[in-house]
Amino acid sequence: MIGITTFPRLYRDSVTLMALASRLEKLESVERAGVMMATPANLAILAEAGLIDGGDSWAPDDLVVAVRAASQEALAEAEQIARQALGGEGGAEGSSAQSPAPGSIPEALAAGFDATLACVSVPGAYASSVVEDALTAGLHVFCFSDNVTVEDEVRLKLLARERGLLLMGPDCGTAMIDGVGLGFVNEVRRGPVGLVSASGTGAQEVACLLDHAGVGVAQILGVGGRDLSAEVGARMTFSALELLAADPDVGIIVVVSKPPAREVAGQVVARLADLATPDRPDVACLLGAADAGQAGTDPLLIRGSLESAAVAAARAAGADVSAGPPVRTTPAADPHHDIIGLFTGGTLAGEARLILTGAGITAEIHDLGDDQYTRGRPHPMIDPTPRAEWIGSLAERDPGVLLVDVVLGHGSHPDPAGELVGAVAALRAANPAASAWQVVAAVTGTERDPQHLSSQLDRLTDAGIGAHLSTAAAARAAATLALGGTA
Amino acid sequence: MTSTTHRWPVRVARRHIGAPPLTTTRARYRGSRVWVLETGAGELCHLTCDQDGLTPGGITVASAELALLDLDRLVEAAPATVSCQVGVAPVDPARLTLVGDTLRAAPRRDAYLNDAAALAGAVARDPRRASALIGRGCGQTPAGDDLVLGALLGLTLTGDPRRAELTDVVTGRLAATTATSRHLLGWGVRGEFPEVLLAVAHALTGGEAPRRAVTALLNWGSTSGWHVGTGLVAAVDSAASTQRSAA
Repeated sequence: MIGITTFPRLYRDSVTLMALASRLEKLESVERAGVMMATPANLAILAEAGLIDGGDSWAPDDLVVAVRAASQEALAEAEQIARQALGGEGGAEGSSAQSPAPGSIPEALAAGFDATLACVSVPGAYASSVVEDALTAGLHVFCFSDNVTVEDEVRLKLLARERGLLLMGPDCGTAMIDGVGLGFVNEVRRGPVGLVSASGTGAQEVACLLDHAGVGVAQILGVGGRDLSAEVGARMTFSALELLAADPDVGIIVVVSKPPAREVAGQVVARLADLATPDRPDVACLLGAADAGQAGTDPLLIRGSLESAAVAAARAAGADVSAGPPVRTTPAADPHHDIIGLFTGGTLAGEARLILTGAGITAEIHDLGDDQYTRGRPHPMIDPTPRAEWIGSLAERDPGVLLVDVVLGHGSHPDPAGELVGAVAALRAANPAASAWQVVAAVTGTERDPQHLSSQLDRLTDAGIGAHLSTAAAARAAATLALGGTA
Repeated sequence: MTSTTHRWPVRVARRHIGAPPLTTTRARYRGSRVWVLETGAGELCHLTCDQDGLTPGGITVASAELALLDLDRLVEAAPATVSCQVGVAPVDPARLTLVGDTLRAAPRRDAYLNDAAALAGAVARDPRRASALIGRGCGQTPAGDDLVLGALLGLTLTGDPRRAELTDVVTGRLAATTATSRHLLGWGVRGEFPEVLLAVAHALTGGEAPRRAVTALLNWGSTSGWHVGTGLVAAVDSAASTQRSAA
């Protein structure tokens, strides 16, 4: 049977149309699919393929999706996919020809969109003016854009505080508001922990480790990587803390940050101490800080790694978990093999560096999500190609231990483990010596993520890659391998 | 919008002057690199960013401006006007070979038009063959149209007499394709072409570096640049061999 959907006067480029046709033809029960502008020449092609009977019903500017399938259900599924891919929510009736999407926040508000929050992802040079529009219009903002000047960030965060709004970002990768994810985010269970995070992947790892411990998350409020700097002065961290303190669903507050400015860290810790009570302890995860506070007795716990912060928060929520033991502290280690770290998450790279340094091991750790590697390219959590190229280049070096992260969740690549396995297989096959490379991966994700944690772990372990559920555990395993042990 | 930092003036294709004001237009499509505007009379105006250059009858603004463009402010601008006309000029054979080799080495992505290079050659030799190509291909500018547009440019650049026959065929078949393609082919019939194509034409005749021009061409549209380039090279090749035979 044949199903035909017409999108009148719809403008889409040929790659989009070919990709859709290819996607439809991969559906089970779909035998043939054609997605074309309805010019006479194209209608003749569709008729030749037995997908349409005649060409009288269309004009050349109509877009036709014609599908031959074995069942009505398959046709319905194909039509739904086509409408999603081509027409957004409106499909044929709401095509771009009839009602172009709003081009700015004021246009969207004028068109009657009932919004309370704006997501901003535009080139950095323009982000500040768009954020300002949103804040002026009374919207909270999630600003994914980076390359906003620190002066603009301070000005906009002052504006947000004046208006009682939350400005998440700039350069905010992760947030979850009342269960709705923004940016890179994992499917974690709901629960009592409220996260304030100046680190996207840091928040992802803490939330996933809590999920593994059976503890859920109420909110993740990103504040942007520079919020705890001396210039920005944690302005949004304080706003986020006020919001979480007033949220009846939040029982434990966790602040996650890369190494903050010393004076700002002191202010944040003092504020957390004010908010914490014996019944509702708070955790400050300040990467590299010395641990302080005893779980169960002190209301404020300071932790210097993502793993130890997640453990502290999970215990505060009543879960029985513990962090793995350190590899070695003194004397300085003398590894037999080099450790090369290739990370897509900056904070995860920092966590690995901390663990290895703590073990007395100097490793070469690269954050491939850093601006110097992403200029003109998608983030490596979306497109793993740059890391695959790095891994390929390791064939020229003496074999060692490769330490990587695999970040699952919405926004990430659909099969990051598969991409890594392919790159590692190519490395090991490059020459006889390269087959000795040992690989350890830290996997951040949950079973409910689109990539499914268990299947990603299976892919890695089947390929001889050591897989661990925290960066710290993976770094410890890499250290053990580098010292000549087995992980 | 609070942003009023657009860099003026914009550049406008020469023949756009005197066209209806942009306030009477509506946007048929707003992409990250091109907006397709349509007047009440159905005339199209391609609003492009400078990395893709000007299209005949169109307007170009700085790449970073497009996302935040306010059409009303565009009307206030004092634009620089530009001709998209191409003239006859001798083609450098070495540059033609370089452009052809670069195109052949580039990935091709249109499953709906096999043997594009052979088809383009056939059109250049016998313009009547263009009739079956117009409107053939899945996208907004079907690949067959792109080949024909390239052939039109090639025959115009070389002053080949078959250009007249090709323009007749194209004019008679404009109704068989999409509005965007009609727009580009219609201007091509009048001897005007998008700047990204003019750059390749200039490169073939000793102007800018061929590699840079071809790289920009390959980034023009999803598959259009490759097909237009293939049509152009085939037509220039065909014109050159005809001239050699006549000599």
